[in-house]
Amino acid sequence: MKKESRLYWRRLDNSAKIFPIQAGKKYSTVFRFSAVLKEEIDPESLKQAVILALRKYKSFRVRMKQGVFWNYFEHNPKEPIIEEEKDYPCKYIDYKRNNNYLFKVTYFDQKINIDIFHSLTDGNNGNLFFREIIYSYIELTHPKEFEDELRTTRKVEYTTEDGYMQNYDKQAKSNNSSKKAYVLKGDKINLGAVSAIHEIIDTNELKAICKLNDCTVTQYLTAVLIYSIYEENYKKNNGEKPIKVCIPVNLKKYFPNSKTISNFFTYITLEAEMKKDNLNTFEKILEFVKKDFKKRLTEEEIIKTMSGNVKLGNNPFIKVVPLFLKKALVRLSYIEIRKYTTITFSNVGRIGIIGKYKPYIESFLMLIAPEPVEKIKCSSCTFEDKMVFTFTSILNDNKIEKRFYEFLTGQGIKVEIESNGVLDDVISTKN
Amino acid sequence: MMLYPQKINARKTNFIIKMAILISFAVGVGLVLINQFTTPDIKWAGYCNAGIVYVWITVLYALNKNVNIASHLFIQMVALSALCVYFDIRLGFQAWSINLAIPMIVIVINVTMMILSIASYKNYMRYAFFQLLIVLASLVPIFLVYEHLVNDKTLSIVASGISGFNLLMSLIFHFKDIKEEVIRKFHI
Repeated sequence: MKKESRLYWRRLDNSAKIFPIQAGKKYSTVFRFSAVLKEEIDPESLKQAVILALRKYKSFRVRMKQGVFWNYFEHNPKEPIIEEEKDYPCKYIDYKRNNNYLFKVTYFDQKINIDIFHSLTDGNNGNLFFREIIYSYIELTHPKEFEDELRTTRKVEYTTEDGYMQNYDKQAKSNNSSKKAYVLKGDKINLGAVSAIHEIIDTNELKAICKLNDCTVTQYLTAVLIYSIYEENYKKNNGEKPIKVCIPVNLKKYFPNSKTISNFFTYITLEAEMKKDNLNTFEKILEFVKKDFKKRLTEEEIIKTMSGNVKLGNNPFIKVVPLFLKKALVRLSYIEIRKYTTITFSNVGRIGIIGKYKPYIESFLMLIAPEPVEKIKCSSCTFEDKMVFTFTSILNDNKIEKRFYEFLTGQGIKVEIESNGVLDDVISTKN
Repeated sequence: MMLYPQKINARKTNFIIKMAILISFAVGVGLVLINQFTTPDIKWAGYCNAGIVYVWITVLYALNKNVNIASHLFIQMVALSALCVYFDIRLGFQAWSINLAIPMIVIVINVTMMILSIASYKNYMRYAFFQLLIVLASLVPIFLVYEHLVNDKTLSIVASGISGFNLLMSLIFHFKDIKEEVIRKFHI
C-alpha cells in the first residue's frame, strides 16, 4: 500500500486534457503505427521488446486516473499485454482489459501494430516509442547480427514538460474560423467496423509530379483529397458549406529546443469554398491549396492557433468545473464542435530508421481513428521510396478512396492498394 | 502476406441481415396463417410476432450503435423475469410468470444472442462472457420443471432446448474466444 501511494504522477498536457473527457467507443481518439517486417512476428520477443522500450520511455508506462478537476497520469506497475490483432484498427482502448495501459501492441503475421490513445502523446512522439520497440524487436530476434547493440544502450533524451505551456503567447488572439464545414454524407458501416485502405505511392514519381506543379507533397495530396471529395461526395449531395481539411502540424519544427515526449502539435485548417470560389477543377483546387497553405502555415498563424487552444484550457472558469461536469458538457457539445472539419490529413513524413535495421523492415503504416462526424481520416508516412497514404473510414462506400487512386494513377504515378477488406473484396493489388 | 485478419465484408453483412429480416417476415406471415387455420380461437401468432419484432429491434440497435448488447440482454432477461414474477405474485399467483413469461423471455433472449453471434461473428469475443451468463440464467425453466413448479412443461422444455442449442453453437464456433474470456475473467 505504501508503495502504491508513492507512485509517480504527472499532469496531462494542454492538448491531452480534452481526449479522455470526450473519448469513448465512438470517439476513440486513437492512432496507430504499424511496421511490416520481413519475417513472421514472434510474440515472446515482441513482449520483451515492449518491456525494454518501456524502460527507456517511462512516460508511456502510465495509467489514467481521475482527479476532481482533471485526469492525470500515474505510474503503471503492471506488465503490458501483447496480443494477436483481432479487432479493427484504432478502436477504443479499454484500459481495464489492457492492464490499464494507454497504448496497445498487437501483431499479425509479419506486422507489428501500436494503437496509442492521443492523451499519451502525438504522432511524432508516438513514432519515437514505436521505433524503439521495432529496434529492440529486431535486435532480440537477430542476436548475432546485433551483438554490439544488445550490449550497449541506445540513448534517448526527452522530457515530459507541457510544451504548450512553455511556449504559448499570452497576447496572441485566436484565429479559429467560425464557419461550419461540409460533413461527408452517406451511410455508416455496421457492426462498428472500420475500413482501412492503404494506397502505396512511389515517392520518386510523386515528387516529380509535385516539382512539375511547384508544390509540396502534402499540398499536392491535400488537393487530390479535396478534389476526390468534391467529385464523389460534395457534388452528388449538392454541398454548400466549405470543405475544411484539418492538417496537424508538429510544433517541434517551430520550437526546436523542445524535447517533450507529450503532445506537442497544433493544426491548420484549409477552408475550400467550392462554390463561392468556383473550385471545380483539380488545377483550381491545387492553386487554392498552395495559397491557403502559404497563408496559414506561418509561424505567426501557428502560434495563434496553439495559443488560442492553450488559453481555453487555461481559462480559470473552465479549470474549476468538476471533471464529471466537464465530461457531460464536452460530450454534449462534441458533435457540434466536430462539425468544423470535413476531414483530417496527417502526414508524419519520413520514418527515419537506422541503416542497419532497414533490411528487416518492409514498410510502415499510419492510421487515425475515424469519428461519427469525420467519417474518413487520412494519414501518410514514408519509408524508403514508398509513401503509404491511408484512408480509415466508417463510411459505407469507398468512392473517395477509388477516385483518389484513379487520379494519381491517371497522372502516371505508380500506386498499389492494400486493405482490410471491409469495403471491398480487393484486399491487395500488390504482386 | 496478409496485412489484416480477415473480417466480414460490410456489404456481405448487410446482405445477410436483409435476407434474415426477409425470412423473419415470411416466418411471421406463416405463423399467422398456421394460427388462423389450426387454432383460430387462441391468437398465439401475435405473441410470436411480438417476439420476432423485439429480436430485430434489439439486433439492429446493437449493430448500428456498436454497443455490447449481450450485457443489456442479460440484464433485461433477469429484470423482466423478476418483474413478471412480482406482478404474478401481486395478482394472486396464477403461475403464468413461470409457465409462460419466463420461458418466452428465455427463448427470445437466446434467439437474439444466436443472431448476434452470427451477424457479429468476428466480434464475438466481447459477447462471450455475457453469452455464458445468459445460458446459465436460462437454466431456470428446466430447474422449475425439475422442482415440479410448472404445470405446462412444454414451453419450459422448448426454452431450455433452445438455450442448450445456443450454448452448443457457441462452443462449436467460438470455443477459443469463450476459453480465453473465461481464463481472463476468472484468473486468480
